[in-house]
Amino acid sequence: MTLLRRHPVVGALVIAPLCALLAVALLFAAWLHGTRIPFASGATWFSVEKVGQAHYNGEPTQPVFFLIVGNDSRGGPGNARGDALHLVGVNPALHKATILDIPRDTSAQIPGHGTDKVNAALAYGGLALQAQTVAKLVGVDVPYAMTTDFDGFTALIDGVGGIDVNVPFPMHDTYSGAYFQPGVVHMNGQQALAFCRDRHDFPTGDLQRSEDQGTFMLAALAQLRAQNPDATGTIHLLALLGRHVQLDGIGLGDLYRLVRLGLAFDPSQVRNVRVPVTNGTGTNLALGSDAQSLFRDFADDAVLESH
Amino acid sequence: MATVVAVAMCASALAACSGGSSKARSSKAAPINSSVALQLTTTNVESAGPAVAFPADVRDQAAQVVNSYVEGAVVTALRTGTSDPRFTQVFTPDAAAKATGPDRAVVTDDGVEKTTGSIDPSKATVALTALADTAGHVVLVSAALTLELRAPVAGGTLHLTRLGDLVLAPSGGAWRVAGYDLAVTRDGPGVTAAAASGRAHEGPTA
Repeated sequence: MTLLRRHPVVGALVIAPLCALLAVALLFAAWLHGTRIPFASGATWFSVEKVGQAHYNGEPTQPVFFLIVGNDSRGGPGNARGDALHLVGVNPALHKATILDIPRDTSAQIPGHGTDKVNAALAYGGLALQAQTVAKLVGVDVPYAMTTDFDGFTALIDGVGGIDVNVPFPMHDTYSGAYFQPGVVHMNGQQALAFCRDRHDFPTGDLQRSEDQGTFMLAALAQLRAQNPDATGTIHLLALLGRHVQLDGIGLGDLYRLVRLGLAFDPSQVRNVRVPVTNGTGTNLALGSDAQSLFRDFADDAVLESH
Repeated sequence: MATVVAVAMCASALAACSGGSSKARSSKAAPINSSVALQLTTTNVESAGPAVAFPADVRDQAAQVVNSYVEGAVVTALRTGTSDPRFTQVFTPDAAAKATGPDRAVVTDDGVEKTTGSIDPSKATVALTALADTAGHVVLVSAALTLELRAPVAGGTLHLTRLGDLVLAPSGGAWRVAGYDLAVTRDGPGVTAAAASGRAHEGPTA
């Protein structure tokens, strides 16, 4: 992990994938009020927090939004940045969902801190401020968020037995350690981390990486769905995750319901879309001309009809 | 209608072989006193915290809930043509509304040809899996149900299979069915194409 810690920004992006599963589940958490479980009984792989006032009321017509954050874990509280940002929207009624990949360098208004890169919000104010910033950027309520770091992500993927990923193109990146040929690869935690960190193989750098993280999340969803087709399987998965998660604002029973519902989503009904951006000031990226219409399309029901 | 209930007795029989660790399980079968001789085959606790045994009281209540469902929604319906509406008492209000509404044809055997003799359960088993939180408290129970029945009806034999999960959660001071994922197949005289098979899910098993 030493090498990874030297490149924390890159690595942070990786974490999002696994979170996808949970993310989808968590989206639904809102309909339950849970207890607080401050500490996981094992090493912490990820944490889930209720970060907003919005509450899912159980109406199947109500879309729910959940933020997944891969942080770069720079070694101290308040220092980590949200380098992998994925806003997942779920529509229970339509059984459709959308993963909105948000480039880390996107310029955004951070409440109380002016304009900065969107990923700086995590360092300024933790997961709650990160969620608040993304919520304001996109125009939705984000009641729940989860975050993980390099070690947590790696352990999580290893913990679920690895993930089969259909690598879309050759990857040969010494920075991330991603060396893959196109085709299905069963990735362990380190390989998954490398796949999700690789940006040097692509002309669009972090933008492609962000999309690849979404691809990984969908692969994880597909596999966990197949591995846990029934309630008993889900309970087994939750017991595993429950030993390695910090929950704040929801309980394990809530998490079960969320995960179970999340696993009900067919990956083919989940869109993975990157937020359009363009050159901005300095290294900041400005939202693309069609970003606002995309946000509106996404915000109304979590499903993209016109994009 | 034959005798029902008394699940606690079989549950007690399983007490000694319930899961004592996070993955411990029992494979010893024990009869649940119902008219279809429902068997509680395994109990297992998946724990996010310390290894715990399946609490006897939870196991007994869960087994009782499953038994009440089978008797009320399946057996009574086969015998009388209509399920006993009291089976919804072991469901949460939301789950009950769906079970007796859009999912009625899957959750119950309402409208199926009445039996003219004994119901023969070729397989009737339940396996309980509990989810315990980091403190070792059971927060959810999954009941995996396998029900294969044969029953004489006018003109032949009805074959009925019902497979799936009932998910139980604490509600109103008791363990109740908060969700289900059930699939049913029926074959025999009087079974319409629409009633031949179906699947329904509600709540946390969706």
